[in-house]
Amino acid sequence: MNRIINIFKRDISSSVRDFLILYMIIAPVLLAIGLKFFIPSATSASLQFALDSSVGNEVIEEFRRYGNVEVYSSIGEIEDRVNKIDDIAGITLNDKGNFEMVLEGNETHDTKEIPQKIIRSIVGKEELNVGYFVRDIGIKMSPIAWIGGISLIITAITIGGILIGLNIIEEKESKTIMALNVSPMGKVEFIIGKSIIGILIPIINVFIILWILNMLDVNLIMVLIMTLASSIIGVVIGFLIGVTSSNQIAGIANMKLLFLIVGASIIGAILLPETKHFLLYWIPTYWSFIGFKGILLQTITWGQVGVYITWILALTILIFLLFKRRINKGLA
Amino acid sequence: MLKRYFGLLKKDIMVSFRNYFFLVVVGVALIFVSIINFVIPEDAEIKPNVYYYFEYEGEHKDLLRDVFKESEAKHKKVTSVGSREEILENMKKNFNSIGMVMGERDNRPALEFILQGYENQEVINSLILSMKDDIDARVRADIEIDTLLLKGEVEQEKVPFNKNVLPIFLTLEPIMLGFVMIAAFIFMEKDEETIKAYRVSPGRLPEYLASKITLMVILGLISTLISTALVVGTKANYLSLIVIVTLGSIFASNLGLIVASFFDSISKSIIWILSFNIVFSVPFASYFMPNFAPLYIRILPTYSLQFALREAVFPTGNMEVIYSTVMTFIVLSLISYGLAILAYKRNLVEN
Repeated sequence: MNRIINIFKRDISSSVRDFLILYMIIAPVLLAIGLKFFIPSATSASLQFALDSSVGNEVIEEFRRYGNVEVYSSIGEIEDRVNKIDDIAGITLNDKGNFEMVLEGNETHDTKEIPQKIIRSIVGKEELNVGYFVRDIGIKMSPIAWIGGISLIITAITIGGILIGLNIIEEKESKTIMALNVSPMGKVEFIIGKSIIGILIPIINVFIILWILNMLDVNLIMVLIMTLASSIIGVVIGFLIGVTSSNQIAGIANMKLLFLIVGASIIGAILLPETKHFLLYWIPTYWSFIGFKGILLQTITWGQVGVYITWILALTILIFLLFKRRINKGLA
Repeated sequence: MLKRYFGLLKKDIMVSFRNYFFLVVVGVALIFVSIINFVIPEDAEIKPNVYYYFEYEGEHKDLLRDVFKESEAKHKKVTSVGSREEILENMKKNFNSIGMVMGERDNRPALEFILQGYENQEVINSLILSMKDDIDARVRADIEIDTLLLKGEVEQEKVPFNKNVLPIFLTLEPIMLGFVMIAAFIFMEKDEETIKAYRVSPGRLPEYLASKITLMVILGLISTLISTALVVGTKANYLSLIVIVTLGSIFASNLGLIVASFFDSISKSIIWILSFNIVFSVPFASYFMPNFAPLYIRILPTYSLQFALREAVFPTGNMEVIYSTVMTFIVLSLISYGLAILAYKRNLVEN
């Protein structure tokens, strides 16, 4: 036990000296702050209109009900604006005084259609007497908020693992690992000692991220358990990268593959219909993603938490067992 | 000078070949191609699913039912369900969905929109407007609105959703590859003390960095050509694609060099490199929602890059976006290369 603590202490002191721990905590915090500003701006995204001032204030105000309005004083200015990369519909009056739309041609369906509907609602007289009512099912957190938050949490957890991996490669290159091999310390002690940092830092990170994003109003014990389980994936993967990579280039190459798989689990869980989710069951971070999703949206039960964690741990143990010999050999 | 540069490049290619990096680049490209071609659905859409229940029995029943039927025929994500409860059940399962109930209130037809709760007011107003326009169109004379098209009409949405992901992959992998990888090359050579050996040779810093950047461009182009050929075949504008990827890759590698120059180990630099990578991925939101392009996204170089790549992969004749992106990246590449040389000169002096 003493030796495990010593390895941990050594990692901590070298990481503190190198500012590594500080970087590990600050980077996700900065990204969380960025995300905090991004969420409201993306959530309030709506259509964009470039209006000729000649259409009059009443029309401009009417368009404001449906999106972001920019007012220009000539058709030339509107054409310049419409020609820019983003989607925006130009509205002006033609020689006869009728409304005319200015489009680039490659706009999405809504940018082409909604301005026409707005104009028709302004100029059209006849309408059917229908009442329009709106209610909602009470989900106030936008998908951008929870998807962004979970992606950041999983990134922070994965970074913990990657750093363990890169650290092992550096120790291999500087031959420290050979020195440790001739000491009385066992491999299991070395592994546990090295893992602690990859588990502790993500826990700190996850709670800071949730605090910054104002998402702490959830079951925090579930958050803690899910983070612990997920960081074990990070640690095992980190060791795998560390022992299978002969140098830093190979380490980064393996890291790229790892990010590809982690990214696929997140994007797949968002884009694929639920009937196709079984394609993602083999990726442990898929279970982390749907676990954190349930926790943040407060739709998860303790039973589901148990199932997801069982999947995460079973898959992680499987990966560890599959590569046990490789890890042993790599640390030798 | 050229001889020294090619000598270095040959060595760098051999080092990355021995470290299976060519294999990894090809492997990642093939995995992505498989994901694009076989996993991501062709007909996926960002637009929400719409579940509607028609319970109205009044005098305008046929007219209103026709509106819904037409909408269902036109949009594949509009689905009729058997009850209000079924709408709620479906909505709880699918966060990107809304519901509509066509019923009657106060002796007149009433259309109730059931939303998730996070939608903004402009979106809600647009939804109501859209249905109101479809309904009113049945009782009023046709109103034609003149449209001035500045370029040819292009149905960008006709590109299948899965193939449309390719430009995102091209930005993320072949171009940003140098940003992540080049630091690893530099730190490895530093640890193996190859840099010390190089310093006492007649070789100069610009050649040393240029060789690393060229390797990243080669790897990027391999990844680009494999993935593009296997996803869109011969339809792409390969010349433009090669020019954009080359310039993008040079800029990203220079940026990777500059960021790495502030640190003395790969572990420390990788946190910031990955963080920058995430920031450079933010414009992907505008790729899928082209009307969402705030200034903080437009100023990121990946913003115009992804649209230029889309134009090169799915040509529509809008060469302007390619020309302007190429010009921007020529300038950015030159400036960042100069800065990278300065950064490494400073490092060499300090060490």
